[in-house]
Amino acid sequence: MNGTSKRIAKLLKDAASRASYIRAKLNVLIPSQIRALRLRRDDMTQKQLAELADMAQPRISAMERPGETNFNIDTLVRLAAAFKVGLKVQFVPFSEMLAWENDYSQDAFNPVPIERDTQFLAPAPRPVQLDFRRAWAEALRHRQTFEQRARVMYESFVNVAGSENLLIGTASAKPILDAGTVTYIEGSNPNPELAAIQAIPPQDLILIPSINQWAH
Amino acid sequence: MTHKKKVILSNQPPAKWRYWDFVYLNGSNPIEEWYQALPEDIQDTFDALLKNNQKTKHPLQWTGFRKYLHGGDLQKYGVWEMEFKGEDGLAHRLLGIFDGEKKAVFLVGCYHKGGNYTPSEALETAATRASLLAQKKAKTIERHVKTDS
Repeated sequence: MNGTSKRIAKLLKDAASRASYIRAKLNVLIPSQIRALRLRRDDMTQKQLAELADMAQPRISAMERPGETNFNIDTLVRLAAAFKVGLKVQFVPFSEMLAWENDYSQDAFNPVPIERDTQFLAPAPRPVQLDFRRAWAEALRHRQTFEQRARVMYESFVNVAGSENLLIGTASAKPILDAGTVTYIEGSNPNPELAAIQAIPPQDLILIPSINQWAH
Repeated sequence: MTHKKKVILSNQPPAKWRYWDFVYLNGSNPIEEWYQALPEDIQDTFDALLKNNQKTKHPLQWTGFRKYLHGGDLQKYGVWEMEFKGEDGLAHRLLGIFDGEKKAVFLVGCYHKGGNYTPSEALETAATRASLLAQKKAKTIERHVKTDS
């Protein structure tokens, strides 16, 4: 049995070994992240960070030394708040923890602070999960109205790309729709939808506006 | 006046640091002996530290890097000190030098408590070993970082 196999056997058998193994990784990766974040923030000094996190400077110094500090969640939260970033604490498989360690680079570690976190400040709309049965029932309920307006709706498709409307077919278009052409019109990627729409005669198209109300 | 930087794009990841142990000409490796004497959890922390720092370009930004040591041959050879702690609560120290592009040579493993090094002659030993290497009266052997995978 080689060294790696022995180690794995020990990790499988013994909770204390697993705890030590996990602790050894965090002993390095947490101080490394704190150090990286501090240096990325315009070479913030330990004293400046201490003031922001309402801690003493020697404590910051200790937290950057591998294995020196037993971190609790509140300490990490205060540091995250001082750095203006979030914090993710997650139980994961060992393989995932190892992958994290392997992929982590102190030089590359640079999560954006909240004021530059555009995904947080102005999140992109979440993809809509369509309840097809419900949408289809609604389409049929308004079938007459929509069929009369079908051509108008098709022409308006190009104009409304990116808005939260659903283009859907009438009963005669159902086989195509059932094959996966029910489309949420998304301006950022309209072409797949356009191809599907072009496969359906315009008179068989229905627009359901404000599709968000059908999303769940 | 405008200064333009020439940007060279490369898909190659930056070269990693490589680590080398001091070895006497008779083959004795005091770094490996020190490592093998460490408890397993301390070895794990040490390995994780090497793995982390080998991807960190500037050694002064290495996690656990303390300082260059001052005075006499320590200063002359540029001996530095790295530190880490494990579950034994001891402040383990590694003394080393840089030797060429992204090459770090480990000279002495020890620990520090109450202002004293154990072994007590750790600093002198580091200076002596650096001197032996400079005179080619000792050699180095590469320490491969454990990846666990």
